Amino acid sequence: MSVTFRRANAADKDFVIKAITEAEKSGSDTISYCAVFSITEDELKVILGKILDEEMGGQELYLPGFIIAEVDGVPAATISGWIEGEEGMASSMIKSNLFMYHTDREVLMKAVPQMKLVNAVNIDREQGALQIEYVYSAEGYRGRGLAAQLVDEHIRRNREEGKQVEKVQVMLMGSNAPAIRAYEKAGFITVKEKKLDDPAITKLLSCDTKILMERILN
Amino acid sequence: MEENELYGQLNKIYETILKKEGVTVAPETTAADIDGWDSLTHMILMDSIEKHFYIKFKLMEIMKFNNVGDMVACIQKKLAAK
Repeated sequence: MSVTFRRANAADKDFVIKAITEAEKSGSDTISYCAVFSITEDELKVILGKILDEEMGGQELYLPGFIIAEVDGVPAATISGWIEGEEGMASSMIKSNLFMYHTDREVLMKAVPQMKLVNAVNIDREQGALQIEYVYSAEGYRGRGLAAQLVDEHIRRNREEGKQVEKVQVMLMGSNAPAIRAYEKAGFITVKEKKLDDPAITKLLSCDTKILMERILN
Repeated sequence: MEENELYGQLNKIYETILKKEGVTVAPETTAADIDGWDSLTHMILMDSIEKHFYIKFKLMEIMKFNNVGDMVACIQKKLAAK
């Protein structure tokens, strides 16, 4: 099995959108964006496509921020990565601007109560830490350690670019036990946990708890 | 529109959205200076400001706002062009 790594480009857009939607489900049937905005998966894919076209760095929906693992020349897995705050603005703020610009304004404003609920379980990301999101391995390529290799590739590339990377962080749903175990095995520990005692949150997210895990690098 | 009047109107918008009295924004004010100005509030603020002044920000304009002063300059430019 020959594994190579490269940054995502326009030709990978469909693969990256698949990765985002599958990772968003986090082992459930709920895509939080669809639940929050009351839109279909196809409508979400159109919005994601427009956002990825913007190529706006410093947040998770930046196309070249995704590294693709190719197995024997075929895209098999991907992870998005960025240094929080590197564009001088919190990733959540950049993402807000992108969604505001590319989502129907009426849809967006109707979703404010749902967004407030989701915001209540959000954990602030740490400035300067390498953030990873949307970890995805295509069917047939799972269990081969590609995700761990992709995290290492993000670290290696950032350091090669002269960035000081001292820790890696990942945000997970508390219900995603297989992913939590996999990160623990890779040296991550849980550093923050946020739970919302409102049953309405489980209609928007796959569970009521978000956790932040991190790995300190040497 | 005079800058003072514009800031006065902005303060009222911020007070309404943040549900707080006595909010005062200045040219150097950033989201970090105002309690409650998070990513969601930011979205609602931008929408309310656009609707109030009957203007539309471009994505790149919003992305370049380093503080309220940058936003005010952009609003003034758009109002002047009307």
